Amino acid sequence: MQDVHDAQAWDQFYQYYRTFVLNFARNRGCSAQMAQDVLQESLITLTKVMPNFRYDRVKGRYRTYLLTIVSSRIVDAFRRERKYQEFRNSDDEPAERLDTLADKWVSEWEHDWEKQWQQHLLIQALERVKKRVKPYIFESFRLYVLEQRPASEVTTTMDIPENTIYQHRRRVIAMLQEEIEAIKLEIGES
Amino acid sequence: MSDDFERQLVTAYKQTQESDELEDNSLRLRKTRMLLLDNPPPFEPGAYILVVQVDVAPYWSTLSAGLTIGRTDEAGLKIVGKWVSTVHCKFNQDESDWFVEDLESTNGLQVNGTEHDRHFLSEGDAIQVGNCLLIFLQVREDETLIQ
Repeated sequence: MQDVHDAQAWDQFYQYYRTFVLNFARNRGCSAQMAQDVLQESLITLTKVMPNFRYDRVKGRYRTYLLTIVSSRIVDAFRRERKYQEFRNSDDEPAERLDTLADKWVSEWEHDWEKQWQQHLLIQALERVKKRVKPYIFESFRLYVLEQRPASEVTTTMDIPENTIYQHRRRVIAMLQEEIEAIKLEIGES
Repeated sequence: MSDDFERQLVTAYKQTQESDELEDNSLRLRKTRMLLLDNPPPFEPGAYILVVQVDVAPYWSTLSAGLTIGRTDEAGLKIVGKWVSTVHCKFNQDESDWFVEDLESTNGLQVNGTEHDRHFLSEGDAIQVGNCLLIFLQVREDETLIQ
């Protein structure tokens, strides 16, 4: 039986990587269900090949290895999906071609994998900052920076001076930087 | 703070707004993982199911194309449990992909909590046959154990 520490480390790993893997698969063209399959199979593969896997021991060097697993599982998901369609429409191309494309895809995905990871970090940091600041501060940041509304519109909508909007922006950006560094430290990338 | 940082932030934020609501299967995946850790899968490449029944220790069974599951000797693999039909379902293979089919069982076939007549299997899929659970797994040639 695995100990409590293992369960906690696994939960932490799952929390960091779940939406990242799902979104990565979705951005490669997987449906929501296919993306869930990719996540599930990637986690199962990890459990099989690394039964003694402890996220806190391998976290720094883990992400590159995960790309290899996730890429293979995305190819598997596409192959199965095509077979579902073949059941419905026998005129479809045979499924084998996908396997020959797999290596090409993986090399092409390497850049996106890192790019999406950086975006994922930003969103994780944003979620944390949202919990730290007062709602009206985050709201002015959301409208002005994230939604890119004009400052004049935000002052009217929120009934706050324009200068306050800029202060909120600086404050939230500084907090975002802090949180990004904190997350990197937690996952062993700092 | 650079404009580049803000640009990246806005791009990432927009993507989250566009993405679908993502279903959280964490509880099921966690249970499956614990089952696999407590019952390590075979090393030999192949396809397997972990058979989990009430009052019987879980065990691995090798899948072969056409294998049927049911509660009597008519089935290729006999399992003991409530709401299991005489011959309940059948596993089959399409090249490297496996699927499971309901054989007009009385209580149906569920995979990951959803009713299916036929379902292409992903590793870790939980197949409910009556009150028995079958966890599907494949051991591939290129998978090596990392300690």
